[in-house]
Amino acid sequence: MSPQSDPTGDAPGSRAQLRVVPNVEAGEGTATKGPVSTGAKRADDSSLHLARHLADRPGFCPNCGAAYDERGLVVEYWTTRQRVFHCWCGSCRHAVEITDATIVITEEPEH
Amino acid sequence: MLSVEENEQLTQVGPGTPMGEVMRFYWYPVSFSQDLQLGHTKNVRLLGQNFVLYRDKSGQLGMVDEKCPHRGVSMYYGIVEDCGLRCAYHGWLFDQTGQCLDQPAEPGTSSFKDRIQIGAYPVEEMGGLVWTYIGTAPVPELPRFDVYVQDGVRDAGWAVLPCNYLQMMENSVDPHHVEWLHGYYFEYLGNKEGFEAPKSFQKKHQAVAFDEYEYGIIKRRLLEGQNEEDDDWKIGHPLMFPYGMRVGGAGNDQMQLRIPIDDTHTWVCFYSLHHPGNGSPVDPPNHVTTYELPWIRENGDIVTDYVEGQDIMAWVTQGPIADRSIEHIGKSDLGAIKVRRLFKEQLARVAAGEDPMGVVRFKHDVIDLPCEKNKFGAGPAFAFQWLSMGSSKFSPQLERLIQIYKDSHAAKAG
Repeated sequence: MSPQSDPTGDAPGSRAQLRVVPNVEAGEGTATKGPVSTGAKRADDSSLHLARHLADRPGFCPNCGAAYDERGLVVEYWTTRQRVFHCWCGSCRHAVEITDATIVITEEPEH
Repeated sequence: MLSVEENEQLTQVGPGTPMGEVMRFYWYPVSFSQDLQLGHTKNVRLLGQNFVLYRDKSGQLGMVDEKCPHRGVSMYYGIVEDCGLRCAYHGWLFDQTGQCLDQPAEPGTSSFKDRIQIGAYPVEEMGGLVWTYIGTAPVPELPRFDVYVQDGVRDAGWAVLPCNYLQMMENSVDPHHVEWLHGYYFEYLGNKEGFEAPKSFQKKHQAVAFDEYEYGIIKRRLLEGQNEEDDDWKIGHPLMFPYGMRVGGAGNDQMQLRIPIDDTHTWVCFYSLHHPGNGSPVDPPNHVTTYELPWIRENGDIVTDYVEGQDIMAWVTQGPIADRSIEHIGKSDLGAIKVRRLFKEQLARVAAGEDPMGVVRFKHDVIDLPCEKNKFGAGPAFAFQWLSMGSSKFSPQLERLIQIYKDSHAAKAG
């Protein structure tokens, strides 16, 4: 499935579309593991690009449970390979950072 | 990255918009005092609204809505009277409070004029600037920040830029751009075009910090070779919510003003107070040497061979309103995230019936702002580098300014 295709036929930005579009940055939906093309890279369609990033961003404050609506703020940024969402709740004014837990690093205890 | 809706909410300043309502809690400079002579009018566009500023024949300043409430003719063409402004079309006269005092074509016995008002707004002068407040009552105090009221020599370069003010405010809390845009890029340009770029802007950042405080955000940086006792870290300098940045060093204290004309135009002004001390001169408090900054060439290229021109390039080329739904920001952009959150927090305060941050309700003579003196650890050299490679290089009094610093340093050494 190409990131440019509309897999549902729904209007861009609809919830149905948001659920199924793969998160390409996270490696989802990658069809092959072959060599990376060195040819010209086509820029993403901006609306699909945005839809992918809106699809899995936090929707609710972990402190009070209120929705991150127009009163709140969710800013996505990257640190190394990690996607981070800086979230501020307009209801309880609590700020938190939420990140994709794509990898867990721990120390092996002595045994 | 933001959603389209979040970006719109943060960048819209017009009347009736959420952020526009927050922005209307503050006083704004709308003219230099010297640009408004006795008996003259001036068009003003602020936060998406049009006004006419005037100085009547008694010397009093006034500001009214652009349109006469009678038939909508522009008051810019009005007749300036002893105490007020009269519409050129049918002669309706309004005083500083907006009350209609005279309607020459109506019957002499009519009380119609008593029921007519034009929108009128408080106006004050400070530091050679004309300030106004277009929000609702109660009117806050005009904040007398240090650079506007302290003694020294004032100098202001300005430009009208075709972009949203928030791009400039995000730049204010982006310390890393200094070593790249004003350091590496400046050096690259200097090598290419044959001039020497200022070295003090090239030092690498080891750490940055942002502390919220009463009037905005204190920005701190720790540069290579510095420790936490250095001014850049220990004192830092403030972003002034919602439209300013206080910066300076070595006796040059500056307020960078980003006044939203509307969503896609901003009046920027680099307002400097030169007061290096040791007997340095003092001009009359309302005297400012002003000049328009050359920021764009005839071929459309932006002029980037000075510090503020480089910032202007960064602001303007992001577009009329930066599309934050397609950005890719990282850990080094936390300042921009911090300022976006700050704006949202003020929205919540206003929605809850509170004042947003930095609205001054107390009487005062001066408000001193924290700002480093030894900028970039460069000592007195910073003043000369900033004068010769910053916006002041276009000042008609540049030679005088350089001499002021030379004399100050000589007096200190002698």
